Amino acid sequence: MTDPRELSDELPAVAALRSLSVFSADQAGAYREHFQRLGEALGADVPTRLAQYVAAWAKSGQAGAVVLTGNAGTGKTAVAETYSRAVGSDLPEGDDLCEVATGRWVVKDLSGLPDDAARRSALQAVLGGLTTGSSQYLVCANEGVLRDALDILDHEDLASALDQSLRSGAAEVGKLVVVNVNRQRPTAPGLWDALLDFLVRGDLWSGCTGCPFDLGSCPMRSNAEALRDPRVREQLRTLVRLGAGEAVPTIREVLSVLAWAVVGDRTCKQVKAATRDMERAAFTATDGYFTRVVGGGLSLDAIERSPLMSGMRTAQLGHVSDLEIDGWLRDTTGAPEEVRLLAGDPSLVEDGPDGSLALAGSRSPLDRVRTKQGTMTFHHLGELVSTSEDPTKVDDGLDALVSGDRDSNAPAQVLWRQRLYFEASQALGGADVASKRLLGYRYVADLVRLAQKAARSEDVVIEVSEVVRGLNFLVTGFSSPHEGLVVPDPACLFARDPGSFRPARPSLVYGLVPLERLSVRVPDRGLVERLLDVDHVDVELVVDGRDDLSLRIRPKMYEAVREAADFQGPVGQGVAEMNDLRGFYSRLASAEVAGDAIRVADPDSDPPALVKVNLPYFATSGGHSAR
Amino acid sequence: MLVDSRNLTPGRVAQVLFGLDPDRDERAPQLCAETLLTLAQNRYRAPASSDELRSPKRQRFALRSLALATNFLAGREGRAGEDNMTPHLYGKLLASGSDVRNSANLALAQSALQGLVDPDTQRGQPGAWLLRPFHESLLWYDARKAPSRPDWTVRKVYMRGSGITLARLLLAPSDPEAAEQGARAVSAIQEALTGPSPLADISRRLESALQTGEPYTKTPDTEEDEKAAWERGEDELLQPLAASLCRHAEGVMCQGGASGPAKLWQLRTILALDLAVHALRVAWDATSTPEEDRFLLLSFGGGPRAQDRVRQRSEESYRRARIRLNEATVSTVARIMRQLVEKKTVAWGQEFEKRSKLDQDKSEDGLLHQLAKLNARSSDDEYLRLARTSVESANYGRAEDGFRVLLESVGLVAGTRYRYLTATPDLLAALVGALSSQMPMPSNEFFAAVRQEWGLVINQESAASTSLRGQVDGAGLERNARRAERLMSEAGLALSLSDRTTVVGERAQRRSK
Repeated sequence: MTDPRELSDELPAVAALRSLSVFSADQAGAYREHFQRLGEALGADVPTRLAQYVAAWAKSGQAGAVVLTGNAGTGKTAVAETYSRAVGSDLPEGDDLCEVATGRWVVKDLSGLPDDAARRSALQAVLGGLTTGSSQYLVCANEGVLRDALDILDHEDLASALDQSLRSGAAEVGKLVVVNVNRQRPTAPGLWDALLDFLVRGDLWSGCTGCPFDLGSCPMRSNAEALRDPRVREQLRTLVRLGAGEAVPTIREVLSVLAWAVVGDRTCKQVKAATRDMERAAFTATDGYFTRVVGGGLSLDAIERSPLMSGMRTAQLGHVSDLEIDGWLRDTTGAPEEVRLLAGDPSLVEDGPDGSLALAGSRSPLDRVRTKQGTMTFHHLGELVSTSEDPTKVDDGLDALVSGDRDSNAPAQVLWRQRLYFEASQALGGADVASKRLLGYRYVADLVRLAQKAARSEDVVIEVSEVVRGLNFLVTGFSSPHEGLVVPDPACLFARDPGSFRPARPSLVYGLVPLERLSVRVPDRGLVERLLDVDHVDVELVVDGRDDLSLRIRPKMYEAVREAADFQGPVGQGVAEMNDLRGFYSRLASAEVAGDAIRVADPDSDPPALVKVNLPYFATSGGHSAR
Repeated sequence: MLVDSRNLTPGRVAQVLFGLDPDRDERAPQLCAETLLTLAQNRYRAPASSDELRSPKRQRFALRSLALATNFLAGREGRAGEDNMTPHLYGKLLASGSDVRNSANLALAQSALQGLVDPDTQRGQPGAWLLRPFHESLLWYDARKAPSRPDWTVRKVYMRGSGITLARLLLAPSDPEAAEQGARAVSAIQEALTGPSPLADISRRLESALQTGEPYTKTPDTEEDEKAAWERGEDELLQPLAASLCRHAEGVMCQGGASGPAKLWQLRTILALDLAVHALRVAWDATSTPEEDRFLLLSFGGGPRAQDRVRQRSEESYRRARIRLNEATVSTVARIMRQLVEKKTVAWGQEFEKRSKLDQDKSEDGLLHQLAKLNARSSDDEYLRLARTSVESANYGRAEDGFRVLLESVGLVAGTRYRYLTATPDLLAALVGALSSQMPMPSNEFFAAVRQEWGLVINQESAASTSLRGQVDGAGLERNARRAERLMSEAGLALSLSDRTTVVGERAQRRSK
């Protein structure tokens, strides 16, 4: 990693962020071993709840062991460093068991030890010390090596605590606490703002010598400035929540994506040189955080390396059209003032220093686009395609609007929608409405609200009923919640294709679960809420409070359920959702006693009703009239 | 070994080569249905001898009249449930979805059953349509209507006996470890096929109206070729197939987190895939294929063919596999020819299949004339030359076609003009399920296991030991692997973690582990 301080004409934060991004060659800053120099540029670590807990434990001196397990990049080593500091020491150099202060032991990385024997020996020393002594032990290990070592050591307490922590996030058995750091969510309240502040807070971005920001020509500082806006942060948080999907992203990955969004692969020197040559035309919205955060400027191969970024792209930000929003780009006259400012409407802003008509009203690279007719503001591009009488100009404008240059510049309408999603949420009707209008997920805000109500144990009866309506439609094509949750015969689930435009066939009903037996809860509850930063963004639908009869409802599943409930037509669900449903209903069918009659959920019955099928009666039927 | 009166028929050659006779009509649905029917008819136990084998020919004409909206009891006289109802009338009412004897809403049940017809079987006449193999009560054997008569009878249409052999391999493999796995698999299959279900209630009730012991209800006597198919399961040549079949079936059926129907659906895929891979491995051995050429490359592209090197190599691996199967047939024909020459004076015209018409060419330079000149001292090349001429002149492509349709019916072959190998989410689910005893595992280990078990190459690491290493650049194969991982993640079969690892099979892992 290049030492940020060695570059006299570069802002330290710029070099630091570039090294944080795993999308470029210099990514050393993404690793804790190189954090010291990064820390000098960006300041102290992001404070996590886990670090606070461990620091408080260190100060208390209470004997015991804390085992942190999780993927690389979740922040285990950072917590070990916090612990070491709290006991007046530094993070040990080596990975093996090290006494950082009297009676305070740290295993920095169990998987870093040379072989199985060394790992077992370190773990045995910890477990032995835990039983007999009054010391504190902090162990960082990923699940695989921990389990391998445990298979030999056969330590019941640690094995059961590990299992429990993998299921519920954290477990405490006697003096032993095991924390599954994979459950830490970067979008948790507090942590989210801290992560963004870590990268874009004002004091980091005061500008380098000769910075062209005041001329409206430093895309990096413009990005950083935008990301200090709470409304922009909230919109980005929604996008990250969606992108997180099944695998919660690590802090390292989130920092990497954010760093790419802010600086990309730019340097201060490059920005200054380009501005000197091309003035305000040097940079455009293609350098904007709003497009980079979803992979702008990266090849598909590079994007594929980040599950978070790939996940965020499934929200299709910029590719969901909205008539009004697209109309504002072509003609800003009727748009709210906030939107006109973002478009670079010259009637609201004094003309820029170069007096160019095409760039009149531009405030930063974020409101500019490149066309074959030169660089211009969104406003000017709209005027060009709407009012110009020169067919060449109109064609060039339309090309820029819908196609970009098919190389490095995205289509202007994509950039416009992306920017408005982040920066004009109020003008669009609020954050939730902006998400509904511009993301492929329409119900994510409702899911977060439901999760937070469930976390506070508030009444969610109406929401449960709506979920049941959607589930009933998804699995049987029958959309009433009044009979309760319809459990179809598991075989009939294979006849269902909720994404198909063909009418659903009737499904045989295995049983019914009344609404009173259903509840909604959040997956992260209890100890894990105390130890980790969690963010309630998905829920579990549970039958009789039983863990084995629960259905995890994540954003994609919720989308399918709500679409099914609201539209009762084909839904944009995925194979994974149907696989989940097949598993859930199969467990339900195994646990429930079959109904005493054959009933069919008939999608065509009006009003919706379960129809009883009476089988023919024959003398040889054995005397049963129905089933 | 040479027992038949005709030793050079395509079926005989295939049996000598592969241990069984794959056929182009025998696709995954038929293979699975015949296997499950054999298991169910024999109460999930191996009969003491082939004489005690019960035929898989279940009729279920009442149920299939309702499900397929075709009267399979047409022309049948007698009594069905009541004195004034004949089986013919009963079948007619069921086929039209009309209510019978105080029933109500049978049409809805009919519509529900129609949703369960296996889409891969919906071609040709309805006698060969099958329901998805989700319950014992939904299984039936192919039926055909005699051209000049109204009645339907169960008979071979697309089921050709390979399913009987596969059932034997599951129930009684010679290897003790395979036997244990097979027993667990069969026990789980029985559990899945016999669980409580409204579908079973419908089937039982409708069939109960028909009198037992009638030609349309009684299981026909076991035929000699069915007994022979059962006995083929003893063949040493099939024991490697038995071992992989038992291992994979046990994996699929004992996995966690999947419903009974989901497991049976995966089993349908695995049976066909294992049989196809067995045929290919035998062909590789028979043609002494170098180890580095023994693979099938799966492509997970999406871009234009011209720029997709992995897809082009995948097409090539598929094409080569088919050539190897053909070459193996040629070498087996040559081997049988030599055995015949060494054993007796051969009447060559009587060794080939009659319809091949190879026996009709009596000219001086005709095949028969050239074959007559063969003797024990003739060179191997001469035998091979004449074998190739025979194979090119007659229809010996059944095994190769059988391999093709098996791969097609499990979702391994894609493309129209340029056919290449890939994997659908259903196929990937079956692969994950078959390896459930080792799940979860990182994706690179999964790709290695898939290479080991089925010879399928997906990523760079697996390709390193093959001739692909000099043909496709590593980045292309890594991209291929990432796309496979993404497909698995989207299908709920894998989890992509932020540290760039993908964990496969979290849901399929066994909870008791």
